[in-house]
Amino acid sequence: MATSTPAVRLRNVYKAFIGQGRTARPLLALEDVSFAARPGEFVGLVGPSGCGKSTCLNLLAGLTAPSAGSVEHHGAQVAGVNTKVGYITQDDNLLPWRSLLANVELGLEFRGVPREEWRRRALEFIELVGLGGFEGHYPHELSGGMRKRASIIRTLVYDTDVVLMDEPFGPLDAQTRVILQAELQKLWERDRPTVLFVTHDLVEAIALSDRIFVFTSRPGTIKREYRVDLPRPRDVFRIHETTGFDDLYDALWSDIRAEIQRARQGELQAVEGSR
Amino acid sequence: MTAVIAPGVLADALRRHERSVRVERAVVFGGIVALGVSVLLFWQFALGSIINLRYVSTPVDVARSLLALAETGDLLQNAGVTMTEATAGYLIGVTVGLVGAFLLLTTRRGYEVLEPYVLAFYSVPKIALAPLFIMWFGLGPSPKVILAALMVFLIVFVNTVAGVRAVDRGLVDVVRVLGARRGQLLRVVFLPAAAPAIMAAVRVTFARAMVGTVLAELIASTEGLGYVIVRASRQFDVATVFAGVVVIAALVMTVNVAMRAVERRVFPWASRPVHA
Ligand SMILES: Nc1ncnc2c1ncn2[C@@H]1O[C@H](COP(=O)(O)OP(=O)(O)O)[C@@H](O)[C@H]1O
Ligand SMILES: [Mg+2]
Repeated sequence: MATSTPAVRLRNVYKAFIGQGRTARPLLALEDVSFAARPGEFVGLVGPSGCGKSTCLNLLAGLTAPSAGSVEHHGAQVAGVNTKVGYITQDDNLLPWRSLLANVELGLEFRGVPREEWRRRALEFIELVGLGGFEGHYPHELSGGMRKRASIIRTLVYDTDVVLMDEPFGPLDAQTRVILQAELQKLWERDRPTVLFVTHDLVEAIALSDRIFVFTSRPGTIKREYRVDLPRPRDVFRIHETTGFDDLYDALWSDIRAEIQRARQGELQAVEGSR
Repeated sequence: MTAVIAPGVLADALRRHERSVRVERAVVFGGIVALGVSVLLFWQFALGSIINLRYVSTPVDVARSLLALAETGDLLQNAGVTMTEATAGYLIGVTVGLVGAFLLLTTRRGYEVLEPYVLAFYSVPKIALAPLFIMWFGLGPSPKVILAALMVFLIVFVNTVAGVRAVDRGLVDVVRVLGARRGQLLRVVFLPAAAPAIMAAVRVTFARAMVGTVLAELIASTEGLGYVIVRASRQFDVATVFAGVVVIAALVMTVNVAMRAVERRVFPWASRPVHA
């Protein structure tokens, strides 16, 4: 395992944003970030808001380029939009003018998969997440949880081996969120893609991940790495009752709390320095 | 214990709701009719005591002039001319506006370069250009068609560009990662996303095409509804002037209603404000 090429890898990545217009002022979002995910691994990314988690995913999706360092997918540099990964965002980003089925088929359509094949695969995944019967519905006719399921299977249906997820369950209510966590775990165990999963919910990170990377506050870098050795398959509904959960949760939380405090002190100093 | 909804409660609620909706509608419709009728009655019977009727005519006289115009065939012939010119200008303006916008959007920085000129052109009252077109192209239909097209072009162009540029960045990014190439992105995301804005612009601009045509006719022409109005005004025939105005308004409203119906059928989710 240790010798195989990582599915994705960031090596000494820096990312600066310049901003736009008159208020343009460079901001270092990522500073010397290095991490890798093994094929089939479920990796959680947590850290204070604004520390660059989404930026890491955007780099891997090829939507933005690093200012320094290298971004690799199966050992190859990511250059330009990376259509070999799946990308699931906080907003479901379904096309309002397409039915559920047509939305799920989107990636297959772009990839030139034969039409009968799309239909079969799309319907199979729609059944798999219990959306059978809603194929013809438009996104605005579906609940938040249903839309989220649709946006997840839209990515999984084209058999990508790396899935980037950016706080996918953020906008959902607590109950739907846990249900979807369970479903995601099941889907993941089916084909075992590599998942990079950004979340601000530490319970969710523990419930789903094999490893968790904690970011420092901005400029973000990896502060610590945790292995989550809880046995699989996990019962996400009672994950907090699992032995080992509490210690891990406390450790993660104290890391993040320390980062938030550090960031706040930095801000205070900056304000005082400017007086 | 399971809750039991008293039989008929839902049906009752529905019936009450429907009744209140019907009443509401009747009130609004009644108000509209009452307002229109009172304005007409006031004009017919009371306005004369304030202003000399020579200047304002009366609804009955306007109707009479309208009938007279219709009987001689004058109305049909001139309305036909104006409609033809306006429609031609409208179609040209819409086509050039749409094609221009999409050509521009395929370039990277084209819009930024063109924007100041678009804004400058926006602030020119197009009617000020009419004498120029008449000098260049004479009294025939060309200056009318051109002015109508100009009145339409910019609105369609600006709304198409704005519609496409307003598409959510996150949506575009996700669809790109899903594997869409440029043409697919245009077909699957940009066109449908911008369609409501485009359709709304396409709908409201017919009125502007009419305005352009009639204005050009007012300045110099030998036929058309604008010409009918000018001719009547030279003879101080106020009733016929009003008759011409009524016909123009009726034509524009009819076309608008028709296009609204088409739009609702094609884009059920579309109903947007128009940048005009
Ligand atoms: N396109 C951008 N332009 C300018 N600044 C950006 C851009 N994207 C992100 N940033 C900044 O970079 C930092 C990291 O952002 P992000 O990766 O979204 O953080 P996170 O997802 O961890 O909350 C933030 O301070 C954010 O404001
Ligand atoms: Mg983020």
